[in-house]
Amino acid sequence: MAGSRPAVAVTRLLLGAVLLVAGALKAMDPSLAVMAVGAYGLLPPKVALAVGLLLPGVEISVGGALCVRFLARGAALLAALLSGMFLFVVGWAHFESLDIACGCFGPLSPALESGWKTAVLDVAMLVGSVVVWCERPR
Amino acid sequence: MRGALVLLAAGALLSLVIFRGASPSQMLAALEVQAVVHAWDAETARARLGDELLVVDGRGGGAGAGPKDAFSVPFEERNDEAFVMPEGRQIRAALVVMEAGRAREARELAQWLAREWALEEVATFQGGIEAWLAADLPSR
Repeated sequence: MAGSRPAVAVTRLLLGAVLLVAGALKAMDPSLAVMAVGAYGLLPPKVALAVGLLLPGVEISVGGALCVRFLARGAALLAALLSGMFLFVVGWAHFESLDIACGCFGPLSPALESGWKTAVLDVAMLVGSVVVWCERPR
Repeated sequence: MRGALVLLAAGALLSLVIFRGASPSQMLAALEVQAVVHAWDAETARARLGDELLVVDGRGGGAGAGPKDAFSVPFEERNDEAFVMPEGRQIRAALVVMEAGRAREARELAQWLAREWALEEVATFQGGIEAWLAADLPSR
């Protein structure tokens, strides 16, 4: 198992970096993040507003914690929940034939459709979260 | 589990700091008028063509072949002119057709139409005008 430690560390850092960047980019334009959540039509406007405003902070907090290995298992659990949630909404958009920008990376992703590429990223993040969560502290 | 809760609380606090200057009421107002935009393929478009559906050509002037009887609302000019919904039809939905590479603009135009014309349903055509013509949908 000792040989797998570097792989887990790389996974943790990559996962943390993706979440950190995604959160930081969303924080640059709060209205874009909020509208991206609302565009799925899954949540009432007030709930979509709350989720859209909370998401960047949570992503930064979880991503940062993963990068510096602080409360890593808790961060991995939250990262898995976030990835699972993202995967669900991407599936929803596909099922409902929605024309939607994923909003994953804030102002850098207005043209990125919520499609199979987003789903692949979410699955990779979910798998990475489980890998990090399974790592027992030494 | 405790770690997750601590990070969640930290994230919420961070969001409060990040967005302290934001205007939630403005964002809520925008959310309340935001429409869900669907993506229709040729099969759906063909099945839905009729009196209740208005096909909107969002390309600019001088565009070549396009959907038959489409109403022109060029994306760039949508706010410049008083584009009003054509009268004499019970229009409930609009389908925006633009170039394939302008998916974001098509989505924005669909949102604009839903808001300005109070439409029940808006959609964009997957694959743009190129796919419309290739699918042999009614064209001019």
